[in-house]
Amino acid sequence: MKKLFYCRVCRGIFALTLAAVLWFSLVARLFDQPEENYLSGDRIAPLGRAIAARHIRFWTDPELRRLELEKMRSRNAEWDFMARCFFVWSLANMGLREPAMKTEVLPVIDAIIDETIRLEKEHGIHFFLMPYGKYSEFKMQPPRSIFIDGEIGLMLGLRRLLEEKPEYKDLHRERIEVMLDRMQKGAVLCAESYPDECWLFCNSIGLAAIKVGDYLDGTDHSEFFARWLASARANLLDKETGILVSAYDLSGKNISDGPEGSTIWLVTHCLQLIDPEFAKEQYWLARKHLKADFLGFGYAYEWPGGKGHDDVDSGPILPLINLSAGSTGLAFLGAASFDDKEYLKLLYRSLEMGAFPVRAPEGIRYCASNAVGDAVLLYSITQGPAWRRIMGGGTEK
Amino acid sequence: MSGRIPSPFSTGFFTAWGMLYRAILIVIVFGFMHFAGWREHTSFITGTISGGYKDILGMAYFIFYAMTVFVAPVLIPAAWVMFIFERWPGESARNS
Repeated sequence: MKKLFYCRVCRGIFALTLAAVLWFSLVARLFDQPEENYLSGDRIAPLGRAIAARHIRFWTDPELRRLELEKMRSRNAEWDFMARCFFVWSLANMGLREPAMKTEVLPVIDAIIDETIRLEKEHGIHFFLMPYGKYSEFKMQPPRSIFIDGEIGLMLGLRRLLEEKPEYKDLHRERIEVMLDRMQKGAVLCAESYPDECWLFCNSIGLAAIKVGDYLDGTDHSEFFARWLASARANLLDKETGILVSAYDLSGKNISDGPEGSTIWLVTHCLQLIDPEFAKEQYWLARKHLKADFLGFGYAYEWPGGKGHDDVDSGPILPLINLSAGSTGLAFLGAASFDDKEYLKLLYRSLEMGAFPVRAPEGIRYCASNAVGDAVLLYSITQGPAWRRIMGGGTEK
Repeated sequence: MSGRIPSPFSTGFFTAWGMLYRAILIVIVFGFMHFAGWREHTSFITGTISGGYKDILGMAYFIFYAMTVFVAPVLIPAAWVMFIFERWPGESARNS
C-alpha cells in the first residue's frame, strides 16, 4: 500500500479519480435553468419569447430566411417544411395564451401558410419531400402525402382556432376530407407519407388536424378515431416494448421502423386530442425505453435501449452514449405535453450545455440547432392552450 | 512541487504542474476558438452541415468545449491533490 502511494502514476490516477467524482457530481447543476424560464403559465415563458423573437425576424427578413432555408434544404427538404409548421403552431399557441399578441403573430402565420401552400402548388408535393419519394409510385392515386396534408391541415386549423379566416376554412376542410378519404382506404387506417410508406408521425398530425376541424366546425369523427385507435392497438404496437411503431407499408403488415424517439414523442402529443389515457400510457412507455441521462444531463435515444443506427430522422447519434439529436429535440415536446418536469429539467440542462446558445438583443438562437430544431423547442414551450381548449370538450360553434 | 516553477515543456502528466499546464492549455485553446467565433459552426451536431472547412472548425470547437467543461475542471483539483502529495513528508525528501 505504501509502495502504491509512492508511485507517481498511482497517485496521479487517485487524484484524477477524486477530482472527477467531485466535478462530475456538480457539473450538471451549473447548467440548471429556473423552471419559470421555460415553463409557460398564463404568460409565455421568457425563453419562448426570446426564441420566437428571433424567428419572427427570420421569417420577415428574406435574406436571413433564404440563407437558413438553403442550408436546411441542402440536407433535408422536410426540415424546411417542418420548421414552418412547428413555428406556425407555436405562434398560434402564443396568440391563444396572450391575446394581445394576436396582431403581431397573425400576419406572420398567414405569410407562412400562404407561401407554403403556394410552393406546394407550384412545385408539387415533392418540393417538401426527400428525393426518394420520386423513385416509386404512391399506391393511392393521385399522389398525395399525409406528411404535407396533415401538417398544413394543422397549421390551418390552429390559425382558425386563434381567429377564424373564411378562406382558410375551405382549405382546412378540403385537407381534412382528403386525409379522411385516404386514411379510411388504408388497411390500418393510415395514409402514405411516401410511396407505400406510412409514418405514424404524419398520421397522428393528420388526426390532430381532423380533431381541430371537429372542434371548429362541429363535425364529429369520434367513430373514426375509435376505429383508428383500435386498429393501432391491434396492428401498430411493438411486441417487445408496447410502444407504437414508426413506419409501415400501406397494408400495415410490414413494419419498416419500430418505435423511434423522433416519432413517438410527437405522436403522444397529438394523441392527447384523441385518447388522452392511451397517449399518456405511450408517453411513459417511451420515457421508460428512450429516456437517458449522463452525469445529470438528460437526452433521448432514437431506438429503445439506444440500440440502432442513425438516419435522417434521428440526426447524428453521439457514440458511446447513443444520444440522438432528433429524438432529444422532440423529447422536449413529449415531456412538456405530459408535464414531466423532472425530465424537462434534465433536458434543459443539456440544451444549455450542448446546444451552444447565443443570446442577443433580437432573441436567442442555438448554434448547434437549426430552424426546425428551434421551432420544435419553441412549440414545446408554447404548446398547451390549443390542446386545452379542444380537450375541454364542446365545439367552437 | 519545489519552489521553482518547472517548464511547461518538460513536465510529465502525473505531476501537479503537468496537470495544471494541460488544464490551462485546454482553456486557452478553447478561448481562442470561442473568440474567433467558431461556435457558429456547431450545427453539424444536429446534422445541418454547412460543407467545407467550417464544419471542421465546429468539430474542433465542440471537442475543446467538451474538454473545457469536463476535463480541465478535473485537472485543476487533481493538480491540487498532487501538490499535497508532493509536499507529503518523505516524498519531498525523495524529490529533493
